[in-house]
Amino acid sequence: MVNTFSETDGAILNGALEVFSRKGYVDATVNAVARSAGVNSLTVFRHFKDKENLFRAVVERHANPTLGDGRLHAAMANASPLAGLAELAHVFFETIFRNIHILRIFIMESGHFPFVREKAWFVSPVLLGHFSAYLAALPLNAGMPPAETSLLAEMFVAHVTRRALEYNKHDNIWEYSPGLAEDFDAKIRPQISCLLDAMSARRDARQNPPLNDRQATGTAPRRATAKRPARAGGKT
Amino acid sequence: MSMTSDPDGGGSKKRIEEAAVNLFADMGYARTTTSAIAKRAGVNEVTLFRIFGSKRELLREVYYQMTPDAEQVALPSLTSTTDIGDELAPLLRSYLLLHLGHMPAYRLSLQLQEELNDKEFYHHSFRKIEGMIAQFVAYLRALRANGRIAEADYSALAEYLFSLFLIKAQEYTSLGLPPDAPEIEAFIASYSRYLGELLRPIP
Repeated sequence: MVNTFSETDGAILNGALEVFSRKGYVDATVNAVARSAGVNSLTVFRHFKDKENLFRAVVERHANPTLGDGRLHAAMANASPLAGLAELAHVFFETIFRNIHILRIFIMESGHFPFVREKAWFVSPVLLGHFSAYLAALPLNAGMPPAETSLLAEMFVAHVTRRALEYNKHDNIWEYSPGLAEDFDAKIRPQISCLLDAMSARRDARQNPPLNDRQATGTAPRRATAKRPARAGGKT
Repeated sequence: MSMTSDPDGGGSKKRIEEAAVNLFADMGYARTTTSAIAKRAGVNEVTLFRIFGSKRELLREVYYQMTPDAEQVALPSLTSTTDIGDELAPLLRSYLLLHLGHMPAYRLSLQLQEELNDKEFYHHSFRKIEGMIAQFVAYLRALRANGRIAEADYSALAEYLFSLFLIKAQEYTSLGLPPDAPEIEAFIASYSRYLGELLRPIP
């Protein structure tokens, strides 16, 4: 069997990812990589020539975040905006956190290495694409210009990314865990409500352009208020 | 003590901080010597120790100095008649520029996370950014009190915006963009317009 990517290579690259992320390129040593991969440092040199070449291979291999497809599809298919957005937020959070090493490397080393800059993502385009698609399909979002939907999606993905970085940087957490997901959940709920409120506000603004005689109670559209008692947003 | 004890304290301090953050970032904290920092800053090593005490204290000072701070942001007048989107644009720009200025220290703090393992150090920047978020929320509440914007969850909105400032600052720094790059202007323009629309008061 021809396998250009041996098990040893894989172990070295995984060890190297972590060492480069924790120490930064300058302070990372091939010895530390070898220790972390459980091999001799000569083996690292034999397989990857030198530190820079090893670093390049790490970035090549880990640059693209991999999503847990099953959970992603379930979230995308969830028609309840609240539940769907919460599930998506969790899929994204887990994805970013499991890619925290490469994200740290992007932040630390993009300025020093053009090949890192080329691969780097900060607001992941993959996550952004999924999130924009989900928002665009929501009835609440009907008629929203795609450019606005992208801005909203970008804010959301940036927020989840910042949360992941904060857990890592401020609390020195390196591994994803259910406990972490629980803590994140408490933080993301108000953000999701805010997102839905923003979408409702824009929908109402589109349906009721300024300068009409809209009821003072109303975030609800005018057609609805005529027939039904005011609901959400009209607690007065 | 003689008159020459602080001939150009402010200037030297700033030069040493700049030299330190560049050298720490290029060479790593451990391998950067105080004499190399002094040399790069064009000051005597004694001056460095007189101002900062130690390499560790210098690092701390550099990090603190380079963390964005609400006090550096001038808030627009509450009673102006400018369109709210136009009014928010310079404010968003100030916040983003402060985050851009923080990036060298931010990158450094990631490199040193293991070595320092210093919670206080990392919570410092967190608190300062929380301060900026609080400032922005208070400003929006005051606009609301003046009837200039609609009711909304300003705290959650501010969390979104400051997440964007941080992550976009990372992106723009990685691309090596100058603060007046068209990409940055386009970012400010689209978000201030969007916020203006979002917060437009119901007539």
